[in-house]
Amino acid sequence: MDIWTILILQPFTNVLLFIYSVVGNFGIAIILFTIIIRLLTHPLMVKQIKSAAAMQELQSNPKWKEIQVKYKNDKEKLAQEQMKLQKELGVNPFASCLPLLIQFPIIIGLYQTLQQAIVTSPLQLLSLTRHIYPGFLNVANIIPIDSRFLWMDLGQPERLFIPGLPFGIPTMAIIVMVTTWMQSRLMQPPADPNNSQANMLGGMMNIYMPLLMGYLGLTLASGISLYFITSNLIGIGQYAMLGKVNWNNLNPFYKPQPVAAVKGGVKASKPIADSSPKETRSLPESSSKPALTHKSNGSGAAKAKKANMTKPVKSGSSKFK
Amino acid sequence: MNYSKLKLIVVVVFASILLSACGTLPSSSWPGVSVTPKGDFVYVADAASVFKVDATNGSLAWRYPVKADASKQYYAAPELSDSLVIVGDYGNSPSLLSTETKKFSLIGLDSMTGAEKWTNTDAKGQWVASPLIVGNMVIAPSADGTLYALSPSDGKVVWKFSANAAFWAKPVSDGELVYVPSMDHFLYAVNLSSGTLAWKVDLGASGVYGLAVGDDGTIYLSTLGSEVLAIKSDGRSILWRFKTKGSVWAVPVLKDGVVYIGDANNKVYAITASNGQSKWEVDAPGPVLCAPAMTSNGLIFASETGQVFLMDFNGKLGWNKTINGKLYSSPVVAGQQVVVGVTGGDKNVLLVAYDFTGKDSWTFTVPQ
Repeated sequence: MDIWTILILQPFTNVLLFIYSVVGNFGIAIILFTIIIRLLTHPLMVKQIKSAAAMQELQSNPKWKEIQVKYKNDKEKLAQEQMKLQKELGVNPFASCLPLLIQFPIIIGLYQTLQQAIVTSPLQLLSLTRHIYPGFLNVANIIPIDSRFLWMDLGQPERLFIPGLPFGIPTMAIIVMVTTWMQSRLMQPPADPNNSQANMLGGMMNIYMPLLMGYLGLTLASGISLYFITSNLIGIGQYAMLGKVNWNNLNPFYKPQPVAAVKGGVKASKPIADSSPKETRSLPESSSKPALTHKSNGSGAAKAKKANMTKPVKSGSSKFK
Repeated sequence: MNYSKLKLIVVVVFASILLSACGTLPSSSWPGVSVTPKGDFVYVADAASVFKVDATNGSLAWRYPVKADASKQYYAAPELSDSLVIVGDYGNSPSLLSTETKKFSLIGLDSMTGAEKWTNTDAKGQWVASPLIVGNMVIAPSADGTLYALSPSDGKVVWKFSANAAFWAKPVSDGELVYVPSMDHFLYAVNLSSGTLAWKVDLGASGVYGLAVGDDGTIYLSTLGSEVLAIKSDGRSILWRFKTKGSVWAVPVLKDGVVYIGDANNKVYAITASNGQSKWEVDAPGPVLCAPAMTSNGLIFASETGQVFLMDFNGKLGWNKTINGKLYSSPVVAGQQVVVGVTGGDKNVLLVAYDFTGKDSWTFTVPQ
């Protein structure tokens, strides 16, 4: 047995089947299992969000931009200076990656566990029985796993047949798509006028991720769709608890509040440790034009210029807790 | 250790774990192999195709469908009559924009040409088990928990019988009753003519594989509870239970009052059919997850780890051959040869044939 199976797949499978043996409903077991896993990884998610925000804020820091311009032709020196600044400001770029890296195997393991537990052939059943801890669960009592939940067979792709309609509606795939889109939109930080590439990437993710997940929901077993939906909803709930959800993003007509723009740039900024991530947008160091203009915020630029410092911009999101 | 090195190590460890998680999934099941009563042809259902193979030399007679359709998967051993070959599939995957659910087809083929005679798509679950042709009826157990009785001429449903969970085992019949275990822990006896329940008995665990019937009508079968059971022909009592050390995955084989079966813990057992007492128990070269083939010299077993070996009726090991692949399909006797279906075989080898002395006869490779 490989390390992946021992560390991830086997424990996950046993816990999921244990929950099933208690509640007697595989759909409920999937929902409870997903909630448990998401709660266990919650501290990692919080850490990742904070670290990512700190990195984002760092990139808006004038000193960061200054060294980028200064050493644009010397990559080695640029890297050295960037590291120096990161150390100076107490930002660890790796801190945002590690929690994410730890979550990846858990998410993949959860997906594989569901695939493994919803057995539809003898070979899959053989594999499942070999992953159950002897003495922990009794295979004879657990099998067969009743894969029916609501109108679905969790082992098969789902279609809802309504009397009078000649075709089935892939409701789970639609819900997967909608909740994925909601999650992407709600967690999207306000547009950063200084980073058009990131904005474009975020916009593309909002389109492609729901489509990809919807396709998976359409073709994979509906138990996996149930996991995707539960996971998306819990993810939204977690972000909401952290005060990071931007509900305005769900309104397709909503235009994000722009960052105050200023001619002539900014010379000073608050120390990074004191500022609130995602709420602070630094302005271009030197620019002949405002980075972003907005009709309703015409006076913002002038005010910012007067203040000669970075201006906190209120958006739909609130401060980190 | 400096910070950069630590980062590198952590990244490499995680990358390794993630890569090991992205391995390809195993095939959905193992090949289903059956042989004509004369022993002149072998039929094998594996993945997207069903092949008819000449048992004398391993050459291909026909292939169904002519062009393999990867969306359909066949694993249940084909059921044969003089003119008909019946195969069931694991369902076709709906296309990207399809608004239909999977369809599960049971197909009647012309045994001479491999041409389709009829298709039945009534089932809502996979055809994991082989159907049974008995009299003028096809008895087909589906993973949707329904036992279908069909007309062999057109595949139309004559009657249905429902259990509480999937059927994965091939039924047997004495001409009056049909006996079939279900994953719902029950063994059912159903009237062949009407499909009504005659009796049922709680096995205590899922009946995954088929059953054997003795001359006196006693029914022998194995369950997922690592047990071999003997059940009285009227279903009123379980005569005995025999506990194996590992899980059992095959139909027991009966000969001269002895029941033979292997388990996943590398054991082969001989059990006295009359009382369920152990006659002998010996070590096998690997996990035995399929039923043995019966020859006059003894039993030919196949182990998951690729060994094909002869064991005489006293448990003494004879010849032993190794195949590059996993062996889950029960070996079958075709004339003077034993034919073994291979899962994940080296160079696409699907069937390997030996004579009864263990000498290589032929191999059949999946045509590209």
